Amino acid sequence: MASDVIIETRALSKVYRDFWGRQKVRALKGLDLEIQQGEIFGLLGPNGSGKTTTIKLLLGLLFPTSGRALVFGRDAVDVSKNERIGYLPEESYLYKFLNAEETLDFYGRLFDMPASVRKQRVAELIEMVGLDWAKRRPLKEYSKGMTRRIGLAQALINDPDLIMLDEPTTGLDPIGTREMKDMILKLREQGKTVLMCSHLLADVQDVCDRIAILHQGELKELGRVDTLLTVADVTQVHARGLTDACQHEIREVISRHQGELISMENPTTTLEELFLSIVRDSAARPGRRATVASEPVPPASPSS
Amino acid sequence: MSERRSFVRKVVYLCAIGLLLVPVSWLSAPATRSSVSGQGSSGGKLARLRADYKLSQANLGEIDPASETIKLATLGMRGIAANLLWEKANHYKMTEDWTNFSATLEQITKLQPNFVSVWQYQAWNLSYNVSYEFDDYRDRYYWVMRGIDFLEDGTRYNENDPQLLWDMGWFLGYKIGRADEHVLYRRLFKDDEEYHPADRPREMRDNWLLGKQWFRKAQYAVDNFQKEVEGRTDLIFHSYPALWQMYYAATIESEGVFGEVARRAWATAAEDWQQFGERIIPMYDNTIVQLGRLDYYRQEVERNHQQLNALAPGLADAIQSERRQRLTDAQRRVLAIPIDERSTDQRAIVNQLAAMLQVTPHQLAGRIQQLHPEKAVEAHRLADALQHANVVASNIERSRPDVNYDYWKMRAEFEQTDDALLARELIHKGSEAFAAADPDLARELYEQGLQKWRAILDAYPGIVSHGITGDELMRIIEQYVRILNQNDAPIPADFPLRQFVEYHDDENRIRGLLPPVSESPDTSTDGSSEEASETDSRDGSGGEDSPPTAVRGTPPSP
Amino acid sequence: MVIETEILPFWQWLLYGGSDDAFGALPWFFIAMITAGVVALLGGYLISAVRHGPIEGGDRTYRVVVGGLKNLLVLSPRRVYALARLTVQESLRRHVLVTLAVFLLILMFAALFLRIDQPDPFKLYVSFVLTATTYLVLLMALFLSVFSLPNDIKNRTIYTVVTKPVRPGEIVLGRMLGFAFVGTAVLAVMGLASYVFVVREIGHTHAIAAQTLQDAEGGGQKGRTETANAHRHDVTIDREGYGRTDSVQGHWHEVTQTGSREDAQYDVGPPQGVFLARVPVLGKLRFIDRLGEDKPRGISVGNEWGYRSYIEGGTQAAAIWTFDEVTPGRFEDGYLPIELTIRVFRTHKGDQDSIDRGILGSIVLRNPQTGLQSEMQSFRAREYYVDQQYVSRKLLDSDGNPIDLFDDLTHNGQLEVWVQCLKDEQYFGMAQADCYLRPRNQSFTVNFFKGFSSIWVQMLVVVAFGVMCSTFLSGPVAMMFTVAILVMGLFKDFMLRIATGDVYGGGPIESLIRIVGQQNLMSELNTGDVTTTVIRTADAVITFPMWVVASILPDFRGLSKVRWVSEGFDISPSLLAQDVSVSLAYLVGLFVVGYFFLRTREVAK
Repeated sequence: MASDVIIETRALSKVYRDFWGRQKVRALKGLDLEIQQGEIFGLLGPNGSGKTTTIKLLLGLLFPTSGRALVFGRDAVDVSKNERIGYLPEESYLYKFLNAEETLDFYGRLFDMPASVRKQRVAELIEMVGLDWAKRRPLKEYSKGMTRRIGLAQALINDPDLIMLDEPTTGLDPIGTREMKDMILKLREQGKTVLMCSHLLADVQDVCDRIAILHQGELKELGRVDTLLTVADVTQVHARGLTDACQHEIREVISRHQGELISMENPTTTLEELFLSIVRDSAARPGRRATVASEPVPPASPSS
Repeated sequence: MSERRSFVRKVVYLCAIGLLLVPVSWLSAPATRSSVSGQGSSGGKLARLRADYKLSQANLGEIDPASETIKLATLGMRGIAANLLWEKANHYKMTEDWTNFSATLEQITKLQPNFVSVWQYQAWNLSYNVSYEFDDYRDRYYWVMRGIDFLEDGTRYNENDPQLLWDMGWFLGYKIGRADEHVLYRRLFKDDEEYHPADRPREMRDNWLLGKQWFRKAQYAVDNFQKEVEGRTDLIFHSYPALWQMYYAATIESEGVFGEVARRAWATAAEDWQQFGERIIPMYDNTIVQLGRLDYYRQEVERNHQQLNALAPGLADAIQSERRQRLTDAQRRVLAIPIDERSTDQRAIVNQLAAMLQVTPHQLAGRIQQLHPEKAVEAHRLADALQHANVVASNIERSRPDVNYDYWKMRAEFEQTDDALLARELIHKGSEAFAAADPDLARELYEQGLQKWRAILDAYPGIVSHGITGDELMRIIEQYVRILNQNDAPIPADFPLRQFVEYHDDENRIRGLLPPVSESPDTSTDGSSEEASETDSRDGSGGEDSPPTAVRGTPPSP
Repeated sequence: MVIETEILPFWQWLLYGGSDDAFGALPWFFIAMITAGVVALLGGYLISAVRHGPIEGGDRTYRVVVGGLKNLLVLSPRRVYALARLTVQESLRRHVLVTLAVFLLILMFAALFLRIDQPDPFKLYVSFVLTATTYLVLLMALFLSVFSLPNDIKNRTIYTVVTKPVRPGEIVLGRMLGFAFVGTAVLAVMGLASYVFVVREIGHTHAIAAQTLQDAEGGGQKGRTETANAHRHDVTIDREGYGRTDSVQGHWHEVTQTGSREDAQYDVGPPQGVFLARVPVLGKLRFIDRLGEDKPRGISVGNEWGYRSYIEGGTQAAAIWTFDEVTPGRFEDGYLPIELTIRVFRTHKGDQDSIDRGILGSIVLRNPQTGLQSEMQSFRAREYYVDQQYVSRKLLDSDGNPIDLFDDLTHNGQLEVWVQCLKDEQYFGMAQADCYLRPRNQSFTVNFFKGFSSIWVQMLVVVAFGVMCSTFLSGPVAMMFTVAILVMGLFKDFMLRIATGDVYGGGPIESLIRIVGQQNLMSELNTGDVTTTVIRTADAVITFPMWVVASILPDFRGLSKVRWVSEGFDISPSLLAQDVSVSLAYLVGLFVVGYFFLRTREVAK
């Protein structure tokens, strides 16, 4: 795993103001993040915690109030960075009057792709997301799942190096959710970096390498999922087909380091428990980094 | 829970809708059947207001789908739209863009077809102002007719609007028949196939007669639809149909139509004028006038006066002498001063005293009531009747000059006579002969015609004292003098209208040309006496404080 | 008339301007752009400085300007094309074709509110179709352009667009081009439909009413035609069987007779004198008064509209037009076509004998240098009627000697036309544009579509404004903003005159007080000296920005060429090019403004 930094934010803050310039909401407070190439990075947090704001800032849809957001080492406001980015918005905001082919063709043109490349790419993507049978129907007739898939296809039209997914699994049925997760994992296999945000913990737990937990605009937790969830002083044995005798034996074997071990690891708490404990802690002591984390991840400097 | 709440909400909405329907129906329920006959309901408030102010479309006139569509299309802002268009029309008028001007007028009236003054104002604009801008008389005629067409459109949208109907009559009659170009206009009008329906007979294609018809319609609207006459008195309003008939008769004579046709035209005019005289016309102060019935009302005054006095003979004199008794010495002294020596102040006092001494019928009736209570009802009735007859009689006397009643009555009468018809014909032919460069024949015809005029003046001496006929006759005589000049002849000694000229030639155009008096034995007696009286009266009126009646009262003996 | 002064050649207009202008149009454009840029820079810095402090603000402003300028011209044709195409598709989805349906409906029911029996139905019909098209197309352009971008932002479809390597400029330009294309297509259909409509409604012929034909004096026949299009003509046919009708509703017809007397067939041609596109050559008008003194203007006869001034008849008073470049090369047919319109003012209508005849006038051609005059031609004035004279090259001078038009009557190509009124106490009225030479006619069809091009130009300007406004305002606000620009643009002249104090009633505040207080425009304000001074000062302060705004606004009334087409004058290519340049200038300027607005705003909430 290479360690090129793809995304970097430095004390990134965002304050929403009303029409008169009065401060309304501090949506993001001094976020420091670094995301390396090839990672699947999850932004986690309850509604209104600043996940989407972060993504919008990274995309240049919003301008930071202070701090900087760098993507591929370039300022997020710089349009040219978009050449290597794919973005799937929270809901697929697409032109409903276009059909799948036209949609992809349109976005392909926006990447200034020549016609032949575009044609091939469009066909591939439609095939990949499994919408071959509906590619001539206008999007307004699409179901939620189909819209999501065509949304993903448009995010991949340029074969991006960095993919930002905003709530990729909301509104999908379990099968759809599974497929989406597989797709994400597949993207990592292709060496792409994925930044996703979600409030669905199971998704994040399943696919993310690292996560950051945000609450009320503040970074509460940051680290590898496995590390974060490890309970250090407990071991869990996971086995199959053991007779009573065998079980008895296993105890001996384990004590003597013999027998077939299917899995032997530290038991993990669920992400849900972790998450809730952080939220509770944050509510009790606002403005402080959560203390649950066992090990800080470099180069996490405490947020202001 | 939420399902229940939404159900409750729906019920509340329904109730609110139901409740709102009550005021809505109170406001805007349509009228069913006719509200006049008492059958059915008179509808909601708005419907009743509409009926009261006669605003509903069915009352106003034709409903035009295009107009309704345009009204709807402005989404209730037609007032503003009409205002903008009006501005635009003014601009077009200023910049002499007549096509767009008249097109804009159409749009305005489509938007607000029941705004009567718009029709009136802009029709006037077209017929009078726009037509004037054109140099070619055919163009002018076109725009005059455009104004008339415009007005006629207005009458379709606003049936029974007396103002528009009256204007139609006025435009057709006056704008065509009295313009400087009236000869040309009337010719064009007669030949105007676009204006006249195909089945209108040629003799009816006359601007005066058609104008008269529109006046009749206006009268009908006033009589039958309780419409008010605006912009002019009722008296003037009702005089026009007959007047237009007079103008018609005079005009066809000027165009060379004589004999029975002309006589019938004048006969109709006389009938119309009589009808006008019989009409009971309201005055501005809620009294009435009936121009043709002066004698009747005077008799009524007299009759009621006598009857009232008969109830209590001598009472009126008694009251008056009672009041005289009460005069102060100072007042008596003033009364004693001879009329001629009173100062202005003194005259005012005398007038005041005279009014005080005057016993009015109601004062008399009041006294009768005190003295003879059993006669009170009768006395008051008579006093009322007397008062009424008195007012009407004085109204008639005051109003007759307003419409030149006596003159037109006499005119319609004398024009029917053989003398008048012949006089007109001879003069007309004489003019034609003169135009055809035959001065001898012209002179002969004129002299015959003037003889006839002399006969007319003898029969109707009052006719020339009114301006119109007198001026007309003066013009005839001037033309005659011109014909004489052509023949190098002076005015002959036996010139039949000498007396008229002397009386009437204010500008002294002909008088100086008249031959000396002594050589005219035929008219000498009459003429000299008139002349004398004329001179006298003129001198007299210039003199200090001598009422003209004194002179008139003592005619000089021959 | 529509053409008051000679139209400048395009390049001269663009680079140097007319004699009254300090600069040509292009220098003006750059001056305006630079001024606007400097003002925007200062304003932007001030706002930024207030928000972020002077140094941070300066930094941000610097980055916006430098980054903005760098990216301004990074335009990928493919992306612009894609966005324009999307715009077209979106317009179609928003039922832009309803406009067409409405237009066709209007044409179908035009008879309800257009009367053919107008004095000049051609003018009415042409101006009607052009005006209706203008309003419809401008409204359509307005509604489409102002809602598109705000809708994208509201629906967040913009997220998927701006996260692609799309520059804000491409979004603005794509929108402008897309709507321009839609407008162009709609206009093209409307233009064709209008053309067919006008030609079908105005084009007509008559049958000869055979029963009206009578033998005329000197051979030939006289009669009337049957009614068509709510009018009929008098016909005169000469002995050879060729004839023409009189002029009614602004046109006349040619009539040809075939066959002999008994079974003669009459063929009435299409209307003449309409469907014109005259190419006038204007001269300079001056007057001499009744005593022969030179005067810049004639007499006023008291018309509110001081456009024309008058000369007195029966005196030395004359109206003199001087034409330049009267050369044989320009008038190749060998004759000089002069068209003259005269207004008549009569101090009296004339007596019964002369009331039905026009006033006699005279026209003389004169060499401005030598004073040599052609033989006097007299004519009877007819108002609202263009009198056409074809002066042949071989003429007689005032003494009856033969002279040559170009050789003897012109001096350095200059020729004078003297018009006088011959009747005492009557007046002729004229304005500069009332007399012109007409070397040729342009095709009406071409001119008609040039008229539509002028609508196209206006549509472009509206689209540019609409899109620009929609880059920083929400849909309804952008609409109102653009409507305001449209309305103010229509009254640009008036606004300028208010701003420069040329109208009665004072500035905005003063006029408001006058309106509320129902005061006369001409009288002094009755508010007292001090208050009046305050009001006047406030007005003076207000009128400056008003002047600035009014100067920047597009002059829609000037761009509209409805009257040119409807009154039968060719829209000169130079003028059209000027208008197109003006609209392109707006397009470019507003593109830059829109680009900066879109670039400096956050598209997400």
